[in-house]
Formats: sequence, structure tokens, C-alpha cells
Amino acid sequence: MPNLEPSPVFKRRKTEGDPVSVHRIQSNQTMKRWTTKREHQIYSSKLFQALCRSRRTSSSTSAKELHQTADRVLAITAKGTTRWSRAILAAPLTAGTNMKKHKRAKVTVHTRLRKPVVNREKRKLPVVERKLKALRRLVPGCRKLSCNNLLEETSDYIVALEMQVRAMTAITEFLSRGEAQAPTDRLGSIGNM
Amino acid sequence: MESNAGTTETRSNVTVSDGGEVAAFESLQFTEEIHRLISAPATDNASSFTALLGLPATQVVELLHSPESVKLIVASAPNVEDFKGSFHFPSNTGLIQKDARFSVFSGEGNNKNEKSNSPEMTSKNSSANLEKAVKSEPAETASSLPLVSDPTVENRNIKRKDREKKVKGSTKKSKTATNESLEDAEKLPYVHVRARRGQATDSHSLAERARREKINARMKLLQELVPGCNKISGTALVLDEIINHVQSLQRQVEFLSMRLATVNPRIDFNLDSLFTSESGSTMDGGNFPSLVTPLMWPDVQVNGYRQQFQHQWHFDTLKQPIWGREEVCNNYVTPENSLLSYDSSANSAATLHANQLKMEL
Repeated sequence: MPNLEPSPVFKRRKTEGDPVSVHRIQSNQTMKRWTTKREHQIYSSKLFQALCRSRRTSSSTSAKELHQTADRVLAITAKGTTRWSRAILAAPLTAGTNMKKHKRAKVTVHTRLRKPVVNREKRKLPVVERKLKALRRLVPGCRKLSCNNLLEETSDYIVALEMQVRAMTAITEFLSRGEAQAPTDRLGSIGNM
Repeated sequence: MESNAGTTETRSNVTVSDGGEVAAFESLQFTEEIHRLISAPATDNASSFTALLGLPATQVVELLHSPESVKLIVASAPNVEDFKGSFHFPSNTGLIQKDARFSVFSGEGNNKNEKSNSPEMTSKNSSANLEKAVKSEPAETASSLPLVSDPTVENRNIKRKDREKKVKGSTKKSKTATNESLEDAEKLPYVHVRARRGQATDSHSLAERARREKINARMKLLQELVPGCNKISGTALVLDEIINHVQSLQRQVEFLSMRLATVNPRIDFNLDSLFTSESGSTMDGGNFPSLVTPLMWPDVQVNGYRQQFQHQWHFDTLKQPIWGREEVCNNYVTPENSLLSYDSSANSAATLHANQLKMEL
């Protein structure tokens, strides 16, 4: 299924040239799309559909499975423009929830602490480099990305995650509320019999 | 001289009309003529030569503009005069060099006049380059050849803006440069063109500065995204905050997925009904958190979004304009019915509710 996603996107990019569609593409390519209501709607409905489908197919409702589903739907909504979305779709078993053990930083790094570093602006200091390393681990699919691109991917990832949180909160709220309210209404109506 | 000028003009006109490789070849011959003019004793010809070259210089520029394969940095004629550096004009398409290289051409030692220097230099250089490109020339050009040789790579910058900076800087400093070069005569041929005043001059530092500016711009964007990062100064701390924010978001998603897994029982219901009930529930109460209302945008907005949404997810039911309380109740009944009908796992909340209902009855 994920294989079908990239090709229609590319075709669309080639053919669409009218101003309206250009605007849509432009708004689809920036970071701000994640803040729009439209994307929120699209995501929540797609997530809902996926949930129903997974409900029907498998009996168990594990959190991990649901998490993966949610991440994949988010990546699909990104429409292949960002690296992290492609990584999530390409390797759904490993991306995002990688439990590999990472090698500890070597002890030689600590020698830096003894000597005060004089030149601060020559290159990215190891301090910043280590943080970038940590960031690379967090954002899926960005393990070998340069600092520049990494920051760009991170910003898009953050906005997308925020939208995901909003949408999932809304869905859980609705579902829990729906269940909480409906029986009481029913109860009320039944009780009045 | 004027007849010569006439012939050169006509020839250049011809080349303009032809275009392509023919133009290049024609321009070669054109520059040959110039070269002959150059080899003549200089001082007398200086004034007339510049007058002669006043026109051809611009036409040279135009000439080399017409075959589109040639890439020039200076677009207009006045720049040719102002610009003290010299161009390397590749003559053939196969020999095009993507990056322009700048070097101040130390003249043949004859002309002290700056203005005369520049068009002459440009034409000389163009001639030198063209000949160098296509065929070897006698020793007259031999002195000019090493002057425009490759070691000027140091000045080469791939980025255009850096080139422009050098253009600006060169106007200030090339005077001294040409004087120095003229003093050295045939020894040190070229002087590196400097960048802006007060800034580091290597291509390396320029490139690094551009890169740093890009990274700083991205960091600013991130700072705006992450709450509370605006006050923090320093890359490392900001990155710390970013990492914390990403981790917290991921944890939130995980927590929500766990919650969703427990809340969501095993139900097989009608999507339409559920969406209608979704929209109905918002109409209900003011007690809803603001997070829920985003889901109900199809109701609130009456525009193209809605139609698209409808097209995708069978939203015909949404066309009902008014959601009264009873309708809400009715819609709630349908999922409730389905809940009752699919009384599956003991763990599901639905079965609990169903059991409670049965007990009530």
C-alpha cells in the first residue's frame, strides 16, 4: 500500500499548473499545513478509518499497534514531502520505535572538559554535535542528515506531532464521551418507561 | 581604423544573426583582428583603440550573450567599463566553464589609463581565452595565457552573491591592484579580488558564513515552534529544549495511543453514523474542550473544504442543517445499538455498558 503513494504524488506535481492548484501545492509543501484545519480533518478521518479497519482485522488492540498505525497515517498525510514521513512508511517495523542499543560515547570525549576550548565559532563544538546526534536519533529517518537539513526536518516533525496529538486527543475524547453519554441517554429513556 | 571598425561591426552583426557555433567561430576571427590591433604599438593607438573598442566591447558582450550556452556575469555594457576584473569567455559550448574566475589582468604594460585598460583587457582576455580554447597562438598570446590561468581558483566562488560581493569590492581595491600589477609588469600577473570590506576573504569563510546564516535561520524557526525557547540564548541550550519537546510529544502520542486502545472497544459500526454523531455531539454542549471542536469543522464551515470532505467520506448525512437534541439522541442510538449487538469481549467497555443496560431492564 505505501508503494502506491509516491507515484500519484509525482504525477500530480507534473500536471498541475493552474494557480489554484499551485496554491494548494504550495500550502501542502510548507510546514504550516499541519496547523490548518483541513489537514487536521484529513488526518483524523483517515486515522479513524484505519482504526476501524484494524479493529475488524485483528482482535487485539495493543497500544503499540495503534501507535504504529497512527504514525503511518501521519506519514501518509505528509504526502512524501518530508524525509521522516518516507522513513516511517518505508520501514514501519523499525522507524520511530527503534529499540536498538546505542553505543555509549567513548571516554575520550571527556578529555575536552579538562581543556577549555578557546575557539568557539570555528566549527560546531562537540557539545552541539552530541545534541544533534540525540536529535538524529529522535527524528525518524534522519540518522545521516546534515545539521541544516536535520533542523528543517525537526521543525516539520514537531508541527506534525503536535497535530497528531491534537487529533488523537479529539478522537479519544469523542469516543470516550460517546460511550459515556449514549448509555446514559439510553438509560434515561429506558428508565422513563 | 574606422574601416576596420566598420568591418568588425558588420562581422559582429553577422554573428549575432547566425548564433550558435558559427557565432563562436566568427567571434574568433573578430578577436583575431583585435589581436592584430593590440600587437601594434600601444601608446598612439591607446586613445583611438579605446574609441574603437568602445563599441566592440559592448558588442563582444552581446555577441557572447547570443549563443545561449555562454554564461556571463556582467549583463550590461556599463559594467564592462566599470569592472576592473576580466572575464574568461569560453568560446565553444563544449568548453564552457560554469564558474567565472576573476583576476585583474595586468596590461601589456602600456596603458596607464584605467578606462582604456578595462575594455582592452576584456577584449584581450576574450581573445586570449578564445584562442586558447580553440587553437594555439603565437607568443603574443603566450604572455597573456598564464595570466588567466587556473590558479585563480582561489578566488572562485560557486555562489553568485559572493561573486557580486567581489564585484563591489573590486571597484574599490582594484586601483591599487592594477598599479601594483603594473609595477610588477611581467612577474606577478594577478591579484586576488577581495570580498566586502571588513569581512574575511576566503571563499571558505564566505561559504561558511552563508552556511552559518542558513543554520541560524532554521534555529530561529525552531525557537518559535518550541514554547519557551525565545528567551534562551545559545545553540546548545536551545537544542536541549528542542530535544525535550520532541521527546515529550512522542511520549504524549504513545500515551494517547495506549488510552485509545483501552477506550476503543471492538466495534463494527457504520462510519456515516459515527461521523454524524461526531458532528452532533459538538452541537450539544459548551462543555466540550476546544480540542474536540476541530473535528467538527465540516459543520461550521460552509465552503469548499466541506465538499471535499463529503466527496471522500460520504458526508451526505452532514447536509442536514439543523441538529436538534432529539436528532442527536437518535444518532446516539445507532452506535449504541451496534454496541449492544456486538457483545464481544469481556474487557471491552461496551460490554460493560451493555451489561449495565440489561441489568437495568
